[in-house]
Amino acid sequence: MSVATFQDMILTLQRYWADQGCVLMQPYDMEVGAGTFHPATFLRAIGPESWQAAYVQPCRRPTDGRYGENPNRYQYYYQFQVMLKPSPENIQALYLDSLRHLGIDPLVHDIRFVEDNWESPTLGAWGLGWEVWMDGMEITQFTYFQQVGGLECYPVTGEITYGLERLALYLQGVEDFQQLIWSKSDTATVTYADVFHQYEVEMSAYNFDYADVNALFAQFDFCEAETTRLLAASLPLPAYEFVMKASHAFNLLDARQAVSVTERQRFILRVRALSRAVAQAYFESRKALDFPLADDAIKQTFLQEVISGR
Amino acid sequence: MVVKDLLFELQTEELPPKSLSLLIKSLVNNINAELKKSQFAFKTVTSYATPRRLAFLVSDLAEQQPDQSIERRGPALKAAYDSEGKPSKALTGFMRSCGLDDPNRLEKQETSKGTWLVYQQHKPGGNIRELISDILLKSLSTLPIDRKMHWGASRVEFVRPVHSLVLLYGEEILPARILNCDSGRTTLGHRFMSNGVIKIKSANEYAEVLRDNYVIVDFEVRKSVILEQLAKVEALENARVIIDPELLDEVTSLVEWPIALSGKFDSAFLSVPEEALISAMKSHQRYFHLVDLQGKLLPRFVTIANIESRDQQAVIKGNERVISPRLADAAFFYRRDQQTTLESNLERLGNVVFQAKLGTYLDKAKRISRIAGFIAEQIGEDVSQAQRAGLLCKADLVASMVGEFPELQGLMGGYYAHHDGEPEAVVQAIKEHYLPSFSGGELPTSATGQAVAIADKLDTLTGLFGINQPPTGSKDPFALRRQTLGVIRICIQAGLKLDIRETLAIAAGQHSPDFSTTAVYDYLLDRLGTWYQDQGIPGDTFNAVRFSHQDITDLGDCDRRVRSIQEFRTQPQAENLIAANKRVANILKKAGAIDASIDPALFQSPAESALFTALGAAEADLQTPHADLEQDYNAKCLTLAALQGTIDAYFDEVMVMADEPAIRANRLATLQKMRTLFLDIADFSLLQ
Repeated sequence: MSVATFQDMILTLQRYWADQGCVLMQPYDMEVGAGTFHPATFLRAIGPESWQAAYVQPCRRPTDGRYGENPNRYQYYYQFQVMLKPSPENIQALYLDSLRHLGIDPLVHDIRFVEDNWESPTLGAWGLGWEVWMDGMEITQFTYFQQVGGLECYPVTGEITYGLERLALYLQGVEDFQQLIWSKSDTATVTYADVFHQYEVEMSAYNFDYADVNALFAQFDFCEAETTRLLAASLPLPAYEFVMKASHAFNLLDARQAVSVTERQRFILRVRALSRAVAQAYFESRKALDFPLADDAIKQTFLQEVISGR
Repeated sequence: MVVKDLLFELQTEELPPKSLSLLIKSLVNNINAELKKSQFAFKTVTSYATPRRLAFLVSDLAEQQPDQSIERRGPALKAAYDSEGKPSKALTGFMRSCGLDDPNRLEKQETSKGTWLVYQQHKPGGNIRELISDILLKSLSTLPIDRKMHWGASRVEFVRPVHSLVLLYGEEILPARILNCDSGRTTLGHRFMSNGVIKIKSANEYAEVLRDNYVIVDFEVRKSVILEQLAKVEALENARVIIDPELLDEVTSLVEWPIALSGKFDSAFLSVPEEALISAMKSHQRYFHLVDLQGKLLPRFVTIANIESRDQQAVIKGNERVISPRLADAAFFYRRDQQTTLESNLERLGNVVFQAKLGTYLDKAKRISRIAGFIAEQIGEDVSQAQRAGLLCKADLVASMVGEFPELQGLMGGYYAHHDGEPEAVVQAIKEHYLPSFSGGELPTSATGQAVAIADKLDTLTGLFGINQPPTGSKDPFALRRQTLGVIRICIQAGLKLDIRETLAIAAGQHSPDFSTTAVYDYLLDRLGTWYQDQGIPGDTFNAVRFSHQDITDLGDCDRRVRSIQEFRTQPQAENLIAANKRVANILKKAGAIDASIDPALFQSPAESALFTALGAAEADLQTPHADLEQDYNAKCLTLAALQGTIDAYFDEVMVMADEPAIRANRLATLQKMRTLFLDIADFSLLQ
C-alpha cells in the first residue's frame, strides 16, 4: 500500500531515516537553491568527522518559476535530503528500502541507477553518482561527494536527495503538482494547490518582474563584504549564512535577466571564492576543537594521508 | 601440465554506461598482455560486463610458468684461479652473484677464444596461485578511468564503489586482495529478481549461474537479446525501430536483464519537428524511436527495462507519463521560438560570447556573412543568399529548443528560417552549415551551404590562430582539426574552384588586419597531408606537390596533382626520373645562381641537342591543357615520364661541370630548364 498524502510521505521518510540513525534536522530558515546548501550537508561534509542527518529542505530556484502553470516545474519545491558520512557499504540498499517503505515495489517498477555526476560551481564541489530512475522518471539524485569548498572529502559523504513532488506524482498517480493531496482527514482534503498555488504565482511575479535589481546588486556586494569581514573574525558559521544570501541574490538577478553571460561567470566565481574561504575556515575551527565527532581511526588516516598533502 | 579456467569478477555499484565497453576491453587487453609477459599459457580470455560487474574467464590457464634455464658466463678459466690454484677474486665474486659456494657446480665451456666457466642456472616457473594477484593489480591499475572516486572511509579509488571479488581457478579460490576486497566465490545476481548472495562453484559455470539469477553477463549476448526483442517489436507494430549503435551500446550497459517495452505518446506532438522529438526521447530517456515503412516518425517508443516486471503495464504507463512532459516541453519551445524571427534573435546573439577575444556570436555571424559572400562570388553562386544565410546561421543558438537540445543547432535554424519565409537556399544553408559534424561525416550538398560551412570554419580557424591559440596535441577545444578537415573535404569533394589562401586572408581580415595567415595556411596543408596519409598516400607524395613551384591555392587542383603523382610512382620510368631529379637538384644547389639562357651553338654532344629538343617539345605539351581536367596531370606526368630515356642518355654522355665556363653555364641552364618543367607540377626530388 503506497503512502497516500504528501505529508505522510515526509513522515515516512523521516521515520525511516531516523531509524537508520540519522539526526532529524529541520529546514534551514534561509533561501537556498538545494538541500546541499544546508550547513548540515555542506559544512558537515568537510573534515574527518562522522555525521548522519536527514531533513526536508524547501528549495528556491527563481528562474524555474512558471506562475504555477507548468505541471511539474516550480520556483519553490521540496527536497528530502539524507547525508551519510562516511557513506555506508549498503547505502544503495538502504535507499531502496526507503522506497519500499513508501510503498514502491521494485519487483513491479523498473528502478535503475543511471550515471549522473554532480558539480556545483558556486560551492566548489563535485561528486560522482547517479540519478535514480523509476520507470524512466528521475526520482532521486544520489552522489558520493569527492570535493566540497575546494577540499577533498574524507571520509566520503553519500548524499541522497529525493524530489518529493515528483515522487508524490507517482505515488498518487496524478499528473500535476497542483493535484497532489497534501493531507487528508475525515473532514477535509487539502491539495498542494491549496497550500502553494497563490504563493507560486506571486513569487514568480516577484522573481521575474518585481525584484529590485539595484538593491540586489548592492545586497550581493554587502553579503560578499560581510562574509570576508566575518571570516577575518574567525566566524565561519555566520560567514556561511552570508554566502547563502549572496547566492540567492545572484539567483534573483539571474531571473531578472540582469546579468549578462560574461558577468554571470564572474558572479559564480565570486560566490565560489567565498564558499572556499568559508569551507577552509570551518575546517580550521573544527580542527581547533580536535574534530570532536570523528572516529579515531578515520581521524588518524585523515591527518596522516589526506591533509598532509594540503 | 595442469590447466584450468580462471574466473575473475569485480562486483561494483552501477558503472558509467558510456565507458563500460572501453573499461572491459582495456581490462581484457591488459590481462592478455600480462599473462603473456609472465609466460602463463592460456587459450582465450572471454570478457563479461554489466552495469554491476567487470569479469572475465581465462580458459585453460596453465598452473605453472615454464621452467627457465639461464646460462650465465663467468670468468675465463685462466683468470679463475691464481697461481696457487685458489679461486681468484673474479671467480668468488661471480659465485657470490650466483648464490653458489661450490666451484664444482660451474661448467667449462670451450670457445674459440679459450675456456670459460659458466653456470647453468635453473629457474623453476612460478605458480599462478602466487602470481595472479600481481597480474591483476597491474591490469587494473592502468584502466582508462576519467575520474576515479573514493567512497566510505576507504582510501582506495575506482570508477565506482567495489563490493566483492570472485577469483576462482577451476573450483579453487585463489588468494588475492584487490581494492579492499578479499577474493571469494560469492557474488550477487540481479538487483531485484535474484535473492541474496550466490555461490560460484566452478569458474566455467559463471555465465550460466548468473543467467539463472537474471543476469546476462556477456555484453554482446545481451546486445543481441535486445536486438531480437526490438525485431519482435517491429514485427508486432509493423514498423521499423531506428537503432543508433551508440544508444544500443549505452542501453546494453544500463541493464542486466533486458526487457523491451513499447509505449506511445500523443500523436498531437508530431507537429513538432521530428528531430526534436527524437532528441527528447533519445538523450533524456534512452528510448528507441519507431518509423513507419515510409520512414515517417510514429508516436511510439521502445524502452529497454531492466526487469521482468510483475506488472509490465505499470512500467509502460510510467514511461509514457515521463515522456509526455518532455515532448510538451519540446512543443512549447518550438511554439515559443517561432514567435520571434531569426533576424530578431540577432540582438540577443550579441550577448552570447563566442570567444572572449573574438567577440560575440553576433560578431561572428557578421564575419561569416561577409566571408560566405566572398566565397559565393568566387564559385559563381548567389552572393546575397550566402550573405543572408551566413548572418542568420547562428541565430538559433538563442532559441530555447537549442538551449535544451544543443545537438539540434543548425537544424532548428533551418526550420525557423523556413517559418520566417527565408528563401529555400538560405534555409538549406543554415541547416547544413555545421557539416561535416564528425570525421568522415556527410558534407553540405547545396552550394550556399558549402559557402557558409567553409566561412564558419575558416572564421574560427583564423580567429584562434590570430589570438595565438592554435590547437595543441592534447587541446583542441574548438575542434579545429575536424573543422579544417571539413573545409578540405568540402573544397575537394564538391569540386569548388576556390583560392583557399586568398579566402583565408579574407577570413583573417574580418578579425583584424594584423592577423597573419601564414601559420593557418601551413596548418591547413599539414592537415591535408594527414588526410592523404589516412588514405594510404605517403607523405612524400604530398610534400612533392606541396613544395613544387606551383603553390597550393586550389585544393581540387592540388588533389588532382597528388593523385597523378601517386599514379606516376607506379610507372617503370619513375625510379630513374626521381634519381635524375635528385641529382639535378644537388648540382643546381651547389652551382648557385644560373644564367637561364641556353645557346645550342655551345652543345658538344648529340645527347645535349636531344635533351634540348625533348625539353622544348615537353614544354609545349605541358602548356596545352588536357581536354579532361581530371586527366590533365596524368597526361603531364606521362609527358615527363617520356623524357626518361633522353635524360638518362644525357647523364651517361655529358659531364655537366665542364672546365670551360661558358659550356658549363650552358649545361647548367639546360638542367635548370628541365628542373623547372618538373617543379611546376611537383618536386620529384622529394620522392623516396
